[in-house]
Amino acid sequence: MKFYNSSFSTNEWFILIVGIAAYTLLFLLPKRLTRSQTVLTLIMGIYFVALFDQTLCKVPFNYYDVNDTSYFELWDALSYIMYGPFAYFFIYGYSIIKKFRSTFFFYILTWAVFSMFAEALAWHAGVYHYRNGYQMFFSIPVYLLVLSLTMLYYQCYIRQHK
Amino acid sequence: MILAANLCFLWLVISVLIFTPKNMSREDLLFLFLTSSIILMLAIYFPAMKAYLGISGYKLQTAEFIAFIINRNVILPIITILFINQILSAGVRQKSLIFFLFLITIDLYCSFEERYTTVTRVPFLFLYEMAYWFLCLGFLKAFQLLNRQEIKKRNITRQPQ
Repeated sequence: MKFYNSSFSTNEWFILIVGIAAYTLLFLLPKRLTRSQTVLTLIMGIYFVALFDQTLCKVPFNYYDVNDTSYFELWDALSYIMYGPFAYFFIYGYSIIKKFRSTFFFYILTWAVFSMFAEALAWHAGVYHYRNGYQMFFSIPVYLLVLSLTMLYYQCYIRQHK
Repeated sequence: MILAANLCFLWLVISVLIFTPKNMSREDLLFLFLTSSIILMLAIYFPAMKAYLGISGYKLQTAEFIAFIINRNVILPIITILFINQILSAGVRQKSLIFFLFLITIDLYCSFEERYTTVTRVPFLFLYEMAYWFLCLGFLKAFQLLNRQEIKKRNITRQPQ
């Protein structure tokens, strides 16, 4: 059981600023998805973050802690909600770019690199605290899996719908 | 042993889900699956906290933890989908019967596999189950309403002037 910080510090500011900026951008962008597709995409983003945080953070894995303690707290839930719009941006971006045979491969790879960068920022802000020898690049397969599943959702639910 | 048993049960519920006639769209199914999983992950956190923190006596081995995850993230959400799918096509009297059947099924399953579902005993589990049921149903109804409004709006804009 670890306690990292009890006061309102950089990790809470990070969640607040990134969350507000992401949701503002989501509302400002011209609409390309229907409202139900938008809701489903947001929930998918929240689901994947919650799934991996509620799995990899816990014993027997215990690879990292989120925010100030090993306990689940309000800011952890807010960090899940904060990541929701990024699934939307991923789908949104893919729906507007010109597609070739290998586009999805490079698109997923680009987003995996971006996700690593975002994770590094979150780690610097104190949102994540790695434990038991966990290193940032261990997240790459997780990102590749999550981004591929989100892409599958786009292919099966959004592209087909159009 | 428990992992093998849970994998078999997982196969069973997925098979039932595949051959059951659906009263929901694919979007509704996905929405319900994701929403119920998120609710369960948050709700189970508190009774399962001792296992999450690795407190002796409650600590789950890797295979046991995987069995727990399969229950939390796949089996229980699929059971929820199966019951809500049934309730959407049932009459008023059947609705209450299905609802009680859902409560009994979840209650029995959670007490039978307590260590791999809630980990610790939850007093008045049926109250939590009821809250979970209404929350899932409420979210699904809101999502369906959103979908319906959108279809209506699309039909209006498509009508010739």
